[in-house]
Amino acid sequence: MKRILPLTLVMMCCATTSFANEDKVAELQAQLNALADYVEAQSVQPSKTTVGGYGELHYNNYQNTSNKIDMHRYVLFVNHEFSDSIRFFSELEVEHAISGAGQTGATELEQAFIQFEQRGGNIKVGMFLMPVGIINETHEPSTFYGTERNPIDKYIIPTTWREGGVMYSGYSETGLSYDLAIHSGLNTTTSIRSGRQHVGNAVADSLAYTARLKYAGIQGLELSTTINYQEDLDQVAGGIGSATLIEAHAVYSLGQLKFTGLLANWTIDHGQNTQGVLLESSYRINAEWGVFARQNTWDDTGAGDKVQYNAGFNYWAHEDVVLKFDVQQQNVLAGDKDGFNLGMGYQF
Amino acid sequence: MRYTIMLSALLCFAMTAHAEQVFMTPQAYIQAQFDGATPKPKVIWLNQGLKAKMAEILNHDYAGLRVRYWQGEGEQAFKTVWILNEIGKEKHITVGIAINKQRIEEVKVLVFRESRGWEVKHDFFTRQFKQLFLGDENRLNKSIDSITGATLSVRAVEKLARIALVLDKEVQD
Repeated sequence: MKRILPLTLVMMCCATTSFANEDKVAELQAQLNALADYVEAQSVQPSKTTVGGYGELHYNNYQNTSNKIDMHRYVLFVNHEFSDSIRFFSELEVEHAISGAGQTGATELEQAFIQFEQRGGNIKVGMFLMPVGIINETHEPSTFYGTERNPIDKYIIPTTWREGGVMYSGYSETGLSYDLAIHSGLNTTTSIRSGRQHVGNAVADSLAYTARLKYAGIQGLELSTTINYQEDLDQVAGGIGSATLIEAHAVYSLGQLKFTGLLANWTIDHGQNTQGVLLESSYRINAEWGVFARQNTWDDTGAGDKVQYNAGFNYWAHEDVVLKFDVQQQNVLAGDKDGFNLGMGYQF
Repeated sequence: MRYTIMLSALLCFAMTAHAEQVFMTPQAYIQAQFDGATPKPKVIWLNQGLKAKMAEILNHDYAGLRVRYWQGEGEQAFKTVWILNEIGKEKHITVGIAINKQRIEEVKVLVFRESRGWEVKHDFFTRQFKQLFLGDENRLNKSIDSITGATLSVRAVEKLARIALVLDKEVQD
């Protein structure tokens, strides 16, 4: 009995100490978690103002013309979130490295709009990119093949095409999405590309309207079509009148193989209709390397089909940094610029 | 007249503005993964080695000291569920990832806050992750097909799937 009593007392003391230690540990854990909660709350939230950008340097080596090296684009994005549902987006670009009177380049505002987020969509008010083609809205160099943007997205769809106005974008659970916009129009009697007014004191006697329907409800497939109606292409009564652009494209990915087809056609009341077709195949070998081949056929003057072939590769040194090489062949109508292109691009 | 209609429409839209698209709340996702019984959350503190692996996958440091997860009991002891966030272009995308025996059971986009790239919420996209596991260099054992125009959102979801597998391996080992 004398032996059992002290033993029992020792065990009771140990048990009490153990409970006390467990309480202490739990308390410390709670304090540690509270501290971690506080620290994480300070660091996890993204800033309301964000800065991004992209840029690309090109080297063109063509026969029959001087070789050129060009810091083609240097672009900065500055975006701000006023509230959960109201955001500002902007894109400022320096083209060809230098701007000013008599200089080769330009400083241009490419986007500046307020976006009101909705359930199932959003509305943009301001100066925004037109929902047409493949490159016009998403043109960061690491997202496409080829050093230079393709000629269909340059001469038929005048990328980078932006206008001032209002646009509603909506989408459904089925993978269908749509965009409806009322905006400033082009102003040209010559080429479509030269008709962009850049929303700089733009003549707005006549407006323009755009609608896009897009389907992306099946793995690997994107189907999209856009119609753009210009009330008056030269903004002058009795001039060349209205014009309509119809664009359609399909992108189908089968594993690492990707096939792209794009068709764009302008019908102009009293002017020269223009059209272009692009066909591209590409194969992503791995995370770093991808190869492609592309055929571009277009007529933007009425003189006949211009044809350009490009084939080459992209090397992604980082998911947002790309080095490019492609060979180019053109027919005489397109300029006969056979040769090769080298490019460096980045985005952040 | 057309300007009046435009302004009226704008006002209506602005009044009903709402940013987040919540496809499923994290709580509901966790509950569904464990047949209605939500286990107590556990926490994995990130040591230097884990932080380095996560930074390599994300291409930036993980902004947190630990990660919460939910683990089953009994027959479901090898199942873990992770609710993770990553920025696509500018805003966080919240993704639920269920892992069983170190293979992905399900990936689901729970909350989408970006203005573009919403296509990643579709089952046709997230289905690709089923039964994938960690391959060499903490990459998925099979590549994920991208979606045109949603590249950054696709990347974000893929990175989160890899992070969840790395963390699951750590807690199961």
